[in-house]
Amino acid sequence: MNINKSFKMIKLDVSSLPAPEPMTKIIQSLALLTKQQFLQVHHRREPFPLYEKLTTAGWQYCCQQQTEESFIIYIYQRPMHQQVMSLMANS
Amino acid sequence: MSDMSFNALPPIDIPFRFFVTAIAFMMGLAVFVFWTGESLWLSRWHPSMLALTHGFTLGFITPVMMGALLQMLPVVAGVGLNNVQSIGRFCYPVHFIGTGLLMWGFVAVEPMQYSIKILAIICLGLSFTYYIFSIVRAIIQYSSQQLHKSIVSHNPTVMIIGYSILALFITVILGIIIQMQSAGFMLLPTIYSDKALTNIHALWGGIGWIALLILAVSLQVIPMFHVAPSFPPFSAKLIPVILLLSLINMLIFPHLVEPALNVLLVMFLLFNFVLLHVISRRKRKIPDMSINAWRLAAYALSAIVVLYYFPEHWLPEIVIAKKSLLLSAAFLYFYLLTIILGMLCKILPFLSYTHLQQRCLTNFDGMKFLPNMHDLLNKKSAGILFYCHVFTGASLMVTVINPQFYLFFSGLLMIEFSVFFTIILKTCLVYRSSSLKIKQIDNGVVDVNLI
Repeated sequence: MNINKSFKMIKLDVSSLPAPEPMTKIIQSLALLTKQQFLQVHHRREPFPLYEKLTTAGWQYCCQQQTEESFIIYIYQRPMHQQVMSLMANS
Repeated sequence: MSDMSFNALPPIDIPFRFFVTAIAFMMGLAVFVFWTGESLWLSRWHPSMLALTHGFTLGFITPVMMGALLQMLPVVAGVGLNNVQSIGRFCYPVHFIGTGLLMWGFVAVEPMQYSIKILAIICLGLSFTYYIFSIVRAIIQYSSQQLHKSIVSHNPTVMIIGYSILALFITVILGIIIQMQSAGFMLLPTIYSDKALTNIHALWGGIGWIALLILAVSLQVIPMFHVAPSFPPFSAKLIPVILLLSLINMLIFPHLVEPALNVLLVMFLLFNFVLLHVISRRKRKIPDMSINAWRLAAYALSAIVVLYYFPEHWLPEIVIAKKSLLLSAAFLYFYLLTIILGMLCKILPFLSYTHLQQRCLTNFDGMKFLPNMHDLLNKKSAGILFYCHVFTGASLMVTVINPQFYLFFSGLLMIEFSVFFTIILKTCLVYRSSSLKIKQIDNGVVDVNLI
């Protein structure tokens, strides 16, 4: 799904994986992202241990709780911030 | 949001030092059982039995839960303890010294006994005060974060952790009062007889502190590791409140311990049925030691409740004579310890893996050196540990009934925890080896393209 001409969202569903597989999948996906891509993760819980390291590694993130057991986390680079915010506002 | 401040997971060596020392402490307890002989098993009020019970609860169960909680709060609530290094430097040694002194105080001769117990109380009191204060501060931090995000409904796990910390505080206070009363300082009205007070202290410790905390952990661990559905709200929110209220009730009305105990048993039984139901609905139905442990603990609790209510005239005389000791030993070994072993077998590799994995976020090349979860704790070793535990527990039940078998129990206890010590040592070695390799990549010592 294109947010604008340049940025592309990569979807990743880790909601049915046992710990610690969700984090493995997220890191593997982040390693494969190009500068024009960002990640949308569907998780069963809020992955708190991931957050601080994401910030240290220069990533930005946003989490949207849909239900008690459904969280959408966007992980992106700083230039994509506005696009991700507008995507969240529209969802 | 990115700008929200979260504390990092604590350094892995802090919880691990609690775990490793607790396991080593159990090996020491095996020696203690061997050394004290048959007399230990005469009654639950025997000084050596009091020493052994506190050895199990303060030397193993409590430090394991203290260590696990340091990691649980950042994972489930996104709040950590900013003084975790001080907990490692202060609470950890002082707690174990205090526990050792308390055990010594129970078995020491009269004039010296009081001085040793006072030293033990000072050590344990200081250690627990600092630990409880730290956890309460983290829970308050979590609550203010929730308020900041305008979230009214709190995570039930964090709420139950709060209840269990309150129970720990009350258990410690009751323990201090019991020791002061035994030294002649009567602090409470006569309605709180020594035995009633000891029973309330044991129930607040065993059910309020440990079992409630286990309940809180199970709400997270089972869905997280076994892809099981979440626990229904009544079991996650209502049961813990009823358990806490029953404990408060027996504290205020010590003559009503029996009815309150009935409520506690029924609530725990109910939670266990829910737990078995949740486990049966898990998506990944692969053989797993941890699942076996949860099941064994749930069946053991059911058996304990059945034995508690079983008409005494149908029981053999020897069982009637040792009933309370038998029930306490079964609850401690087959319920609490079984869950803790099962939980540790999941937590040890998970923590090690998570800590290594986090470092790969700053350098993806490090992922090449991540060990497999089974390298950190293989299923075969976990299976051996589980069977050792079943045999040791069975030998404990036999020894309670017939103390002549104490050597048998002592030997099996030593074997079980030697196996566990080997397992945790291997986890530490695999972690260290992978950690060093990732560090070399971070420092640019290893060229990943050449691997």
